[in-house]
Amino acid sequence: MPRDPYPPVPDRSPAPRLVEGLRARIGAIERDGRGAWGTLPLGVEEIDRRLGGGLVLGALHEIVAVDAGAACAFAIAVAARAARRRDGAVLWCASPHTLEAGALYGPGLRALGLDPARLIAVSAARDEAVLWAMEEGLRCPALAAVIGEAAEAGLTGTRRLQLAAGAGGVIALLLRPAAAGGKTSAAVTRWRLAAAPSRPRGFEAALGEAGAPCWRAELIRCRAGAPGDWFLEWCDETGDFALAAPLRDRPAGACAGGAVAGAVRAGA
Amino acid sequence: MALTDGRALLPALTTAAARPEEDLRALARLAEWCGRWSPWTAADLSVEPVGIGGGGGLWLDATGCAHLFGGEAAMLDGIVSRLAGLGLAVRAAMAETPGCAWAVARYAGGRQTARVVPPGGVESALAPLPVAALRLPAGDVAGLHGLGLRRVGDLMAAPRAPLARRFGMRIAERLDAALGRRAEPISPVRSVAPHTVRRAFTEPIGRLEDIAAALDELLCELCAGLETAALGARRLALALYRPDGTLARLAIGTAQPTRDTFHLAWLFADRLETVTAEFGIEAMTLAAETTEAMGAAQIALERADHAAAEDALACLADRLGNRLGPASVRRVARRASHLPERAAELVPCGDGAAPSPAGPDEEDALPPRPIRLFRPPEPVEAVAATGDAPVLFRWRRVEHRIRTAEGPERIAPEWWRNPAAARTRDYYRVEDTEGRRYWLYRETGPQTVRWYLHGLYG
Repeated sequence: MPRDPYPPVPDRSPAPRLVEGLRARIGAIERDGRGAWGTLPLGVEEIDRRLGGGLVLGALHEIVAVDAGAACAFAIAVAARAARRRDGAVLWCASPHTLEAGALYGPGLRALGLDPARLIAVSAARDEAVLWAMEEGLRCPALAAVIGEAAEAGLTGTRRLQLAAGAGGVIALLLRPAAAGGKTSAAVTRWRLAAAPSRPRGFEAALGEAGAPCWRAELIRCRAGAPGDWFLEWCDETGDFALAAPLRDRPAGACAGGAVAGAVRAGA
Repeated sequence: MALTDGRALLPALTTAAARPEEDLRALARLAEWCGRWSPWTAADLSVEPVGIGGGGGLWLDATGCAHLFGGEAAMLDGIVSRLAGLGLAVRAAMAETPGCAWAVARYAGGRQTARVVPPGGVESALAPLPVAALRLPAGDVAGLHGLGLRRVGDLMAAPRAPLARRFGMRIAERLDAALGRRAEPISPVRSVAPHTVRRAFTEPIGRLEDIAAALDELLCELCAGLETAALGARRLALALYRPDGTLARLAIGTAQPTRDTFHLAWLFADRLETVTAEFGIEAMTLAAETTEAMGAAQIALERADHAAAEDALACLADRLGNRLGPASVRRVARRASHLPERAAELVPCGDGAAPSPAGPDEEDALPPRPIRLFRPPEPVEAVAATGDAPVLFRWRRVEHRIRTAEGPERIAPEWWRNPAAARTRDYYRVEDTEGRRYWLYRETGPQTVRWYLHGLYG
């Protein structure tokens, strides 16, 4: 599995460089000088550029789970990247009734790059307990990522998480059910994850099998950049995200469910 | 005297129903509270009223404790005055044997409520007491009276054999026990941990900071003792004795043996806040209830990063486990099984061995597994041709049209475990038209075909 290449942001003209510089400065001001932990690139150049290098480490990111499977997979993949980079464990705090999607299953995690031995799963009865456990986890130096499932977090709760994450440099991901979306929060970014029909190619298409997992990842809110909307694919072989191939690359009829665009860009 | 006679004499007589069970419970609570003087306390719960003051009583094994309270007489006076302060009428005695203490407390007479029998004075203390002081049933006492044996001294002088023939061995046994020729163990209310430390305060302390500071001292003392014994604590119990005869118990557990006072104090910190102590705390005991062997290690000095990280994780697991319950902090454990729900389970941290994930080879050999598993599987309604992949299923009232299905992957039951419930399952990985991926299986019984949703893919 190749290590993260961390591609440098390409500079083509002076104007983007100026904008990037200003953005970085604004971001640093917004983060109150605590953004010293760097970023975690997703490995997709376009998204990383939009995020200013990747997901900010030592910060809270919120994921609205339209589909529990897709949102969990995205969170696991991000956590796995963080765990590889920092060589730490992953804490997963959940209350059983938030997503109602069963329990985490170890053997499936490896496909997303996460060694199950690195996982610590915490179950709590209420949202407050989940948030408390996340905050405790964010203070632990041996963790690389903390993931929580909570319906209600509130501005205070998310701000506490944001502060704890900023103090320890651990990335925090908060999964929220779609019904709870749109509330105020102190998260640095907010994503909306839904499943998307996969695009089988070659043999897969010929055999009528599903292609690589495909998710629609919408960046609804981003403190240091503009929102976006992408179709992400998970590449099993390399353990990386990739932008889904544009429509024309697929054999006709492979996608029966609704029209999907390869990469939908919103905002600018 | 019957109640009616009593009422005739004193019409204003107040009566209350006797509640012996409640009395015994109160006595047991009191015995536990008396742990502030000695770890070895027991309630004498004999229901049958024997001798003066009924059958009940408290036992305290004061061996090695008296010096903490200024000597035996001072300790006994302290106990009597503290119990009297709770509104109880108390008679107490301290002697070399439980039998002698019992006899002297009840039969020594006089107005003195606390008596200490000096070392070697057991025989002379017992001799003038009536034979009932040996905790004998009423029948035996009457029999001995009939023989003219009224004092314990008479009994000591009498020949044993005729007594044994007539009354059995009980009288001789009781006498020997009271004289210390025969062991009479006291079973304590709580098992006494070998590593227990205590602290009593001259004035009750009430501020949380003071209690925490006292706890720190106790922890240092306890951990020093554990270190000498090459042990680490897995479970600690803290008892806080309040002046009003009640006590609060706090217990913490750790995922791996530890002697780190800082970590242990941190685990207690949350719990201490929950203790109500309006009148303060006057004594504390801290016991290492469960210990495990733990070699000498240079704690918090230079060590491999990996070990330090493991320690940090164990600390986190302890902290979370003590608040949310030890069973709620879990890691993935693998098992050699084909059944998906048995192959990987979440087990509490610190239970048994460290997580032993299967090698990547073993997992690569299997078809992809879901990331979330329903336990138990959720029944769904599915439409499928016989023996073929499903084309449609309904789960939680939502209809999912299946776009692609891969399978079946046949998983045979583990018939050696539960033959009755064993059914072969055919698993399908399906993707619906929205792109959501599920793990469905078909269970074919003798007459029925059932479909279940077992997991979600990313």
